[in-house]
Amino acid sequence: MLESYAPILIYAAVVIGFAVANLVISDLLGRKRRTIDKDRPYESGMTPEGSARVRLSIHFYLVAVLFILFDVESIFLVPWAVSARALSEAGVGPIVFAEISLFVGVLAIGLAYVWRKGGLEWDR
Amino acid sequence: MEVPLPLIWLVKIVVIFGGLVSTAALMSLAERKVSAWMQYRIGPNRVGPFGLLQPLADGVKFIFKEELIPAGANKFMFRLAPALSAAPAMLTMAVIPIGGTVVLGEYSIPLSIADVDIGVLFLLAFSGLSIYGVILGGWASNSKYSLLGGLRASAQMISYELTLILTILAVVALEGTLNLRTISENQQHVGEWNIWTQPLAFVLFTITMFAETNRHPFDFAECEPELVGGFHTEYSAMRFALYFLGEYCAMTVLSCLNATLFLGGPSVPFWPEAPWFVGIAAFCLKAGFFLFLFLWVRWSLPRMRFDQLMRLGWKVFLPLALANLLITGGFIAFGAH
Amino acid sequence: MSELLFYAMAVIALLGGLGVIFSKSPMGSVLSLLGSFFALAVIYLLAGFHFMAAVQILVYAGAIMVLFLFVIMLLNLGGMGTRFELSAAPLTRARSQIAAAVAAGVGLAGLIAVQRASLPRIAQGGAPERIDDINQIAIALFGRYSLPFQAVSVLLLTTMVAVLVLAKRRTRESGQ
Repeated sequence: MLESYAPILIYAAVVIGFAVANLVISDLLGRKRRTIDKDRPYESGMTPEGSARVRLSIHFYLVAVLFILFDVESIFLVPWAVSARALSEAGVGPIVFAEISLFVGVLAIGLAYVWRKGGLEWDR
Repeated sequence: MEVPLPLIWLVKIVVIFGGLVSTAALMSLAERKVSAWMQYRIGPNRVGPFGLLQPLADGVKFIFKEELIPAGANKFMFRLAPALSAAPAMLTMAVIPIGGTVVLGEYSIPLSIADVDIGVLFLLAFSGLSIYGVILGGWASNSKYSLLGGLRASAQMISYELTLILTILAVVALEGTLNLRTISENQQHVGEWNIWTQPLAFVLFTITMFAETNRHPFDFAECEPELVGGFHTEYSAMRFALYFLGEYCAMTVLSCLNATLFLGGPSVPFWPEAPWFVGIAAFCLKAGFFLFLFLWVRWSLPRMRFDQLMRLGWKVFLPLALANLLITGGFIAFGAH
Repeated sequence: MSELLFYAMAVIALLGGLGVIFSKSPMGSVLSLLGSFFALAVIYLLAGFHFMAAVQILVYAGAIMVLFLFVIMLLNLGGMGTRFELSAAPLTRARSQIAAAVAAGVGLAGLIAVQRASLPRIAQGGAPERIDDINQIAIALFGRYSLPFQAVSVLLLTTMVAVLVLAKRRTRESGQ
């Protein structure tokens, strides 16, 4: 069983090696002549004002949490999706489907709530 | 003569990885060529016949360019981010079956780097990691455009990842497996292709591909008039090239995945016993169609606004994908095979 | 070979954990934790838990750490060289020591509980074949554990409501 993952490990080594080699070669061969103007962050020719470490909108946080919640939900749906056929052939299809519908339904209520309260609006 | 198994692995890795990187490189040329044709221009035609060697020339140029690091940037993260963006996209190619099984003498070689039972989950897990390169690159640059571009791109990617997972799960529910090879082998005949049973999932998946790779009309990370270059505004030379390579690789992998999930992978319509090389050609054609679609859409549709994009993802695609999955589940549960 | 891999991954996981604590910037902590998660995923794989390994990367590395990154940027903690500047809730030395002690105690209690429970030991006799057949997970999830499964959805719903209330209050206070 584990043998099927061995090629992935080798492939991962190749990919990471490729990415790092690209960065290192370019770092070594590229020219380096630094000036103050070159080092300045690019703002379309304007002189940068203030720090770039600005605080960001709470919306991003909201989206990230919602993403985690639905991500976890879909992970719970994976075992069901894989075995839906087998369960159906074993005669418990409708019961399991009812469970899944309840599970998804509760979260759909959550999504509807967030929607109604304007949690999905970006222009506000 | 005994051929050791690791040697077969290595050959497959070299061929598939080489194919992926050359596809990405050719895409950078195709992007410019197709754009040119659609605008009644000629496009790059100086380096090699039809400009075919242009990507090579670009690569050499990138290597010898200066690597700029903006003042106040976090140097380590700034250097790391392009690799974090490109490597996961390339890694996901490992589980894509580009063809059936080749029988050479006494060896039967399945045409994918690895044949794992959780292939779909592996692909989803690693494709989700590309987001780190985007966030960290934008954040480490110490530039406002980069930060905003990175944040927008990452918010967009996580929003559409949900649709991606749920549409794939609808196919998984039909096939009853997470193994991509089994999924593609179950669609030998054109009538068995999942596009016929999952048309909504196919449409959602195809549109989501654009959002996941930050491509037009969803390219808010780098919409030139607003955010200059987005999260890679400050990147130059090979680091910039690596971001681009990663983006093209992600497009290629998603196109391949789309072909595998919905269009039967290497199956040839009306010729189920086609030899393996015809299968590979069919697979490349199907994936190539989606790659062309990326370019076609770019010059056909106007860019959306960021709030429209998020609204589309959360209020249209997510409920549709959930409903599609539930309806599919209902059909399976109540025995309408 | 797999034993060697296990030890290598165990070392990486531990180093990652140490990196979380000793890293100077919160961003460094996040990256260290990411490395630790990867090593754990490979260890799960070696033990035969394929599904768990994929979920570990998909949920922890792909979702939860992204939230951490967003929070770090949200609070603007990630400036170079700057340490935590969270003046609203000063973590005094005594308080952090108490917190560390409590966390260590809970962890230890968990370890002892696991050690005493009669769980199947995978370490003995090597990795069994297909210990986590997804079909078996499904049967357990929808059969024996169907009630906890439904409770999870309610828990997720609660979180959803809670985060919305928090986010919305924030916008009202800042004079929307």
